[in-house]
Amino acid sequence: MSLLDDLLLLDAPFAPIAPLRSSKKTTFSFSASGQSRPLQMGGPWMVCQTSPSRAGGRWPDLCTRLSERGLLLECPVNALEKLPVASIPRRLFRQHVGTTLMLEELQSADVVEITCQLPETSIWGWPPEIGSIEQMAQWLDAVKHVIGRNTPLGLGVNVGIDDQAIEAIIAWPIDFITLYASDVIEFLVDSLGRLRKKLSLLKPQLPILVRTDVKRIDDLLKIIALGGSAVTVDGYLSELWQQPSISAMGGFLTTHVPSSSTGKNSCQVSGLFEKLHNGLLDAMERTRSSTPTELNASLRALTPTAARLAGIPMIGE
Amino acid sequence: MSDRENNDELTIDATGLTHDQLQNQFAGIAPEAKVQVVGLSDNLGGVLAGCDHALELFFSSSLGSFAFMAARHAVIEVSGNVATGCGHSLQSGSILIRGDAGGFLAAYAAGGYLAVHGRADDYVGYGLSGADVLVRGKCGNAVGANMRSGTLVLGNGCGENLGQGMTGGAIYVRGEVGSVADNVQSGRLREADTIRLSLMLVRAGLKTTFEKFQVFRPKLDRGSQP
Repeated sequence: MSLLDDLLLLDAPFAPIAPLRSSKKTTFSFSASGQSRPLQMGGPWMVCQTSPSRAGGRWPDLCTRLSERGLLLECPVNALEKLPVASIPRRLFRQHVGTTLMLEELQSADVVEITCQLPETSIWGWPPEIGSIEQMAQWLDAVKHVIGRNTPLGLGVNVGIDDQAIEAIIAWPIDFITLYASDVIEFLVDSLGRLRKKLSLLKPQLPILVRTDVKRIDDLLKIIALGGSAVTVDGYLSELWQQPSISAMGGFLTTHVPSSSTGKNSCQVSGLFEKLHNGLLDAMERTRSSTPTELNASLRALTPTAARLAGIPMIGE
Repeated sequence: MSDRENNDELTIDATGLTHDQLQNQFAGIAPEAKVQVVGLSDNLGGVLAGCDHALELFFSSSLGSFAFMAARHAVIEVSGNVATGCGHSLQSGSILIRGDAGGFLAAYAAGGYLAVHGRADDYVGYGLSGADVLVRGKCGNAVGANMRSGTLVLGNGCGENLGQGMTGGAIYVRGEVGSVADNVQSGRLREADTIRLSLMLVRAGLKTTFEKFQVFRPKLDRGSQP
């Protein structure tokens, strides 16, 4: 039982009974125009914890689908080397604080996130070389010069971040914030609520990306409704990686049926993204929302705790 | 504005320039050129961060924090002081600072060479990962903290907690050491040390000999010994 179960996307009065997908556009262009380096995505989904070894034979198909849909993929640059150009998605690179800046990775990425977590200890915090929090803006400015002029730069923070740190972050020269939630949904609901409230006053256009292990489409939609601009779908896709891909079965057949095996893998990956996309469209239709962001207006809480943490009305209010 | 002088040295007047404007000045200059930069404000942070120009650069002023972050290829000389984080993640090339350096000098520097003729503040070579760093004057506390590899040479001692958390590399010190972290041991100079140290001293133009130095390395993990 998760706190997300205490949230509900309320259908609008006279919502369509049957889906009206054909009348809706099939892709979303997401752009935070208020930032100096706008983060642009083809939809509110991203893949961040799926490696080529985990995806196995489905990796090329995954990349192709992400590329087609303009979605972000986090991976090292060499994981994309063998792919055709058309199959290379927009790449996010994650640079941990407390490490040497990885120049090639940073300068070749489409989006860069500075993750405020020391990799060796997993402790969250600002870069150790920042003598005071006031120096962080200068540090980020320098990193921006390193990565290039137009690459969006974001800051990855723990979901338990406090209000003081949120206020500091908002003042820094960043183009998005990533909240690391893993499976701590209570903190995520609380942090997203507080972050959106602060941002609405100071930087309403600043996107919030959410990293979580959530697997169900309904839950992913609720995170978007809570204020997430995009959310990781690695948990949702994990079911697929647990099934052997056709090419990973090995043996005699593999070498003789490459085209059909590729096609089946492709259908599986594509099907999951289609389902995800349709789920979003259905939710938007049911709630009469024209953008994913507008889902927030239809979000209701089933319990007082959920209402308080998420900063939304109770159902019936 | 840049103009060519008689001795093939370009001069850039950086008065009032932003970082991007300064970068634009460098963009059109042919490789290997010598460039003098004057009038740069020490309030400007991240000067030449991500610099990938194979140029010889002379800065006639002091520089702000995080100068030359992740720089490559350039041969740089600064006549004044540098603030915090100079040479952070340095990749290659060389930096000579004639004045003093702020804290976290050459933090996480992965390659290249950085020398300071004056003093340096705390955390010199923090997380150093392969670069060579020499400080002629006295250094502050926690020199070489979390160092992974590379070489630190201190010409006039340092403060407390030398090598705190270091796991690799070597720190050569002439002069007084305030205290040494528990994970660090002092050792004898081996032949490889003397060669390395002598090269770095010569490169920095220092006339002292390696005999006056002691070397500090991380204690070996007993489990990793054969």
